[in-house]
Amino acid sequence: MERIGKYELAAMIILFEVGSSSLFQLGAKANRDAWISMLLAFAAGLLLLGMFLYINGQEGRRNFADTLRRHFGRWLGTLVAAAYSLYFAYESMRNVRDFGDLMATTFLTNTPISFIMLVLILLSGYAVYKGVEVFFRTVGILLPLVGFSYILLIVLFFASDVLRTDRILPVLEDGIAPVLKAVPSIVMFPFGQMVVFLIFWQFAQDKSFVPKVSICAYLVTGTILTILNVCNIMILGAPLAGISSLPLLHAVRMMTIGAFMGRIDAFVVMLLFLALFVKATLWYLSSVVVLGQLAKRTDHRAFVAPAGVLIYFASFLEPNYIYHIWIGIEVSTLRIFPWFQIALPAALLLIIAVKKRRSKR
Amino acid sequence: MNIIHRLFRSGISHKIAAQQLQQAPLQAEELSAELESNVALIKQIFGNSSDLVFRRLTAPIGAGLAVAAVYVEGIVNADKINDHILKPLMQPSENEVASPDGGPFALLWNRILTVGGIQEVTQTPQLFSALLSGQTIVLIEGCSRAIAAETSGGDRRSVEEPRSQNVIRGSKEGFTEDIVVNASLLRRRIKSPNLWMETRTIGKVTQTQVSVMYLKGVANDKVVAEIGNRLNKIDTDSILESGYIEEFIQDATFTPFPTIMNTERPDAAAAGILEGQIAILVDGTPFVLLAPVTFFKFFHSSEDYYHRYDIMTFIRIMRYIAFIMSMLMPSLYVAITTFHQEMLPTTLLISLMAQREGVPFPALVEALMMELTFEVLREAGIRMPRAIGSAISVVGALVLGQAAVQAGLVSAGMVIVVSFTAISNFVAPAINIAIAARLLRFVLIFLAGTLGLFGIMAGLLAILIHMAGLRSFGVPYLTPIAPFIAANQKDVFIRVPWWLMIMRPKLLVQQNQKRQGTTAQAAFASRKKKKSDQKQEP
Repeated sequence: MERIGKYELAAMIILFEVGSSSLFQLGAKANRDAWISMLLAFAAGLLLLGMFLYINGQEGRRNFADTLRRHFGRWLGTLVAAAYSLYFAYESMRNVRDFGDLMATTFLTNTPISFIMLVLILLSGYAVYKGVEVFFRTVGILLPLVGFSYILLIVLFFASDVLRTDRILPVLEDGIAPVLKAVPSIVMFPFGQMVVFLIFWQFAQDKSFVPKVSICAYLVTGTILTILNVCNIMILGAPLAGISSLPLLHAVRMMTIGAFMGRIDAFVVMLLFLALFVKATLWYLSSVVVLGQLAKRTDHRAFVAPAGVLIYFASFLEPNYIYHIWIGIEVSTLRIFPWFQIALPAALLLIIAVKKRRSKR
Repeated sequence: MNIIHRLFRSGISHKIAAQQLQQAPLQAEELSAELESNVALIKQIFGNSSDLVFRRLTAPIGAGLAVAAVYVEGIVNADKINDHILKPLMQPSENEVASPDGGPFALLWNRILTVGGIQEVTQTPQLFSALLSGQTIVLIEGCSRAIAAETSGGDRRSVEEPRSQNVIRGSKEGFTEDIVVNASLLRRRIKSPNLWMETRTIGKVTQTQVSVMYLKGVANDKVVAEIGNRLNKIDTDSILESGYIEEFIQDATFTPFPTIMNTERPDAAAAGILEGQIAILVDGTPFVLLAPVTFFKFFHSSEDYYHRYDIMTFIRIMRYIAFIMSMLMPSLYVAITTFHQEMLPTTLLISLMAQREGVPFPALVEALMMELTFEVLREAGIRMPRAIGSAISVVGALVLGQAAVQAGLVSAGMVIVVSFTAISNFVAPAINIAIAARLLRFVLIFLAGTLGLFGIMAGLLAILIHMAGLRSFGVPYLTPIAPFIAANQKDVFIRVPWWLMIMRPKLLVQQNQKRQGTTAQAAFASRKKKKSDQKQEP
């Protein structure tokens, strides 16, 4: 049986959550008050996390597909599990596409995006093939590198004089309404995506550390994301941060430290590379693991190739990056994600709670 | 019927026939009571080999007893044979011969042969293995039992300074080709009855002795059993070096990374054993295997523990950086000059590009060319006779370095990169991990030349995932970083002072983890107590 330690779990949560979220300016609708929306969504996300943790705590070592089957009934449960698998694959495909476009616009402008995404999917497939334990360990090694880099980046932001506090003032100029309007989409992306750990918590070496480690890691990510969000606004100003396709990269380009630290954007692209890789792979892995659980096989490897092919070709469905982002922000986050991140887990929670009550009586 | 049977065998299965042929000399045959027929049998099976010595003599026992001493020249200690076998046989004292009850065999066994290791031999396979391991066989007329007396010796390399793993401070002893000497070197360092040793013979033709040594109570019993299992499964005719054993028992074959460590230094092997590693000694090679091993162990030198901890911490970190450099430098150069020129400061970029102006090849080709050249130089440096060494260095340094740059074939920057890479590759204390970097370097250069930094990152990630999936006898290869074990961090990238390293590294050791303080001895005691309790239970 594969087992993951608490350090690996924390590392995965941090890298996964920071992942693609640092690619976008979250809560751009709230303009310069985006960071307030961030904090509100962060708190709402904590509630969701509590819900996921409760469900997980009730189920012990039972895997996700079996949990669904047990509470939704055999047929409906299977259907829901299959839907989750598909949803995970879709999330993975979104990250693969993000990755492809990031690379094609920054590093490899002459290389076809299909080839870049092929390399990524092969790499992810390799990690997925190696299994849960190996991938979590790999991320455990990456965390110090990525974490150190993000901290360095934030320190550099403060060290160079690009941060201008007047760009986030006045606070709440247009009242609370636009701030609140921006919250739901941030809850769905990235905080609600913690739903994926419903699959992986059961692999923990010792289930007792799961809630504590998960919440701590979640708090760390929320803090990092909020700081980056504020930095983006303070460097670029709300309007530019809102329309820039890669705000973090844009912000980094604005700063110069000494004579030689002028061009660290390649370094930032590498950071985004790692974060997106981790995220795309974890979604891919969860999709494959759920399929394995549905097929009642302990070895999920048979599904690596089919899922990989599906994700790869699905990433070509959208004609261009603009469309991809629009679908992501307008359609997926508000129409698809709530089902899997809120509705279905809430239903599950309700069933579990009712059953528990009945059994007590 | 018999003929059909033979036809069937030889016709259908050549493999079986071949095996039989190979084992033919080892087919058991009882010794006869006639001295001459036994001698003839040995001669026939050895094909009259001239290094086989038959010393026939008539001992003045009773009415004269015909005896033959048989041994293989060169692998025996001639003095010992003369003094303890031939002399007492020829000139037995009166009281030795006085009471010949029990026949000549018992007389020789009990009174005449003054040798410590002695055994009775009645069948040919035993006789041959004794003969070939340096024992002297004493055949007696009228007796179907022979005596094998331990007389092995002969010239072997004495204990010298190890050639491959040099240190400034620390023991200057190195293992030799003799397994007995090697085991004694370890015994002298670990004077504990808990240092256990299991010996088996592997290799149907070479009959090589392979010993497993470990510290009972510290080494993980499961790993010891697993190593024993894997050794027992080896079915080959020859073991000439510990490398053979390594390839037979290692966990992963398709990897450039070694999952078993080897050392020529008894102090390093002893340190490994004390941390719960298991040593595998192979006769005929000074390289002792240590398993299980983690990736980071390959960057630790035994000297790290002899010098000051702060300095060695610095040197250790430098080794890791050098390893990464030796793997990445050329590919980074290729990626930056081909794809990411904007990363360089402008002045440096201008000077680099000015150098490359006259170079006709893309950076990828240039790098591959120079790296290959260097690999050839290095291989030549190892194989060439000493006398022409200076010629190689002249050709290498002047012709391939300076002249190639002047001729405009390569840029000066590339020469610097390749030289630095080459030097940093020699920093790793273990050569087998350095070789892994050497091989991966070419893959990464190729990726850098085609996909730039993206390719390098993808390559590095693939390597990382691969390493995270490796295991060495059940221990994850990247322990204690992935999986992360906080307690083991004292001796990975840094080395803390000795008095802080109270515990042995986890995962290697499951019991008796403490190595300092009184509890270390207490743990040994409790283990013994537990064992005696278990014995009493049934």
